[in-house]
Amino acid sequence: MDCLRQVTISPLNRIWLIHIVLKKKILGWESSILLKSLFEKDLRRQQALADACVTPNAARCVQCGICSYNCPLGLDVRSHAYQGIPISNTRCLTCGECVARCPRGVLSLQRSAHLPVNGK
Amino acid sequence: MSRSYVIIGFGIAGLSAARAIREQDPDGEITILTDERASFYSRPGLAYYLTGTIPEQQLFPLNSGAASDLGIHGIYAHVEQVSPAQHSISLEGGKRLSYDRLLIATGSSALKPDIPGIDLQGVVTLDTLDDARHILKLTRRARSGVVIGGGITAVEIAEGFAANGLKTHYFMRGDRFWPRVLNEEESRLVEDGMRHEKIILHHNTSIQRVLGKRGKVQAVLTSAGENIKCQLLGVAIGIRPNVGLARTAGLAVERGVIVDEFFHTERPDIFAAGDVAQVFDPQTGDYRLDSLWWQAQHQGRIAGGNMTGLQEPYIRSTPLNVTRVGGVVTSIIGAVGQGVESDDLVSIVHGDSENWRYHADSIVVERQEGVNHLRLVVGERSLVGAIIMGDQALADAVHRLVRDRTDLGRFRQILLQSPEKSIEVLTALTQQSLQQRLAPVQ
Repeated sequence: MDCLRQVTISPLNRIWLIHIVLKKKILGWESSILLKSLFEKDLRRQQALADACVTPNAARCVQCGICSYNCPLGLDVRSHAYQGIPISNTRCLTCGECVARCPRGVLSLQRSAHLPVNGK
Repeated sequence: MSRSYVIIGFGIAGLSAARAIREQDPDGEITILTDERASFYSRPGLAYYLTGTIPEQQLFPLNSGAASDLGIHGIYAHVEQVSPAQHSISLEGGKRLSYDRLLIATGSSALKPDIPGIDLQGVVTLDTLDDARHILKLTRRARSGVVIGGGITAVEIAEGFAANGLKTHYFMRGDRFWPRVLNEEESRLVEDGMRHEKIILHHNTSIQRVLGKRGKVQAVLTSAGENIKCQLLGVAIGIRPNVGLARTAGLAVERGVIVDEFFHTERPDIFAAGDVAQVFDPQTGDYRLDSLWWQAQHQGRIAGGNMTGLQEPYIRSTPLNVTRVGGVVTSIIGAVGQGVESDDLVSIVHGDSENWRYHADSIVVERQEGVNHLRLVVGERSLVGAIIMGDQALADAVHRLVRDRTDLGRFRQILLQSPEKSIEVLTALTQQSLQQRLAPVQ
């Protein structure tokens, strides 16, 4: 429901939403157009993140460890950077913390060749 | 009988040499000697430890088992002498150790200017973890600090002072920061960043003497006669390769230990690599120093392989350093020298390359957008150097173009006539060279 809080919903829409939610509950709808458009932006971001993985450029890395220190899951990003291999660990959230904090621009989020693109 | 490899120095050159030796010689006995109590740590990471971005334990990339997994025997000892005739080294305390192959990877140390008061407590340099610890300890009691010197290390020390709450002054002898490598616009970007970090910049300022009381720094006296109070003085005027052992062993030493492109000294069983080595470059015919992390790693790897009997030459790669100066991420690639001498530095500094100083005979294309800055040094056929500040999206592509000496072809003219199109040109060039590389595969 976090996403709903961020958008202003007019009273009319709110009724419409409740209507849909109820319908969904009662009829078990898969999705609705309105809900989809509300979440679409977030979905696109999710999709982009799911498609990407953190990719290092070993030549720029000096093993300072800021990346590993800031990984919320405690993944060993630094050793990936040392070896120059993308983080294909399924636990990686692709949250981008390591990418943003690396002082030397070693890491980037790149679409991974290992993962299916747009479900294909 | 297994061969005995001895490596003096546990920096990145020493470690990568050990790794390369282990790959080639699974039975060899590898001993690394270091006179630092700490195991291998990231030296460039010291800057981030100083600013409090990472805690100390984060500086150690190897887990506790890594050294024993590699079969490396680490000894904390000070090496007193190398005796090439006996193929042995003597350690402090009289112990001797014989070697079949020896690597000197002793790195480099900061120089201090010869001015009165320079030996007072509170004058600091930044080479090792102990230095960083020492600085942090002193900042707890200090209120203000002064930094002199140039290049990346000076900024790192100043940022470290500022992050620890010191009123920080940075003295430059000239009218701008690092004129040997950066142009005016780039210096301005770094200086703006430093001001933003509340560092007080003093141009055209040097110090005459350090004033102290009871052996501790109290103030510095500038050349203009101004007295600036400080409890810490950070010095980064240059580095000197640690050549002492090589010199007493009778090896050829110039600015660094002279080695050929295989990292051989004139003794067939003694090698040198990393900051300490002045390496022959077959392309230019001269011997050059680098103090770059990646270069040291590359050199260590090749030297290690050659110690096991390989004959791989070192092909000097395009010097690249990426660093955050004044909060701006900056890539320095290839020949970007300004042909200007800098008074702030007496030699290269950590994270520096002699190659950067060489002023290429070339034309410069610049593009500036807010805090993002791109300078391309265009040679006769290809890009010979570049500085990229801010957004690093193009950095890898540019590095590849410089490294591979990709022929610019018709794009050269476009670059020179319309610098505003430089990003489009770089994109097109990258795609073109990518296609050429993929072509044989298709």
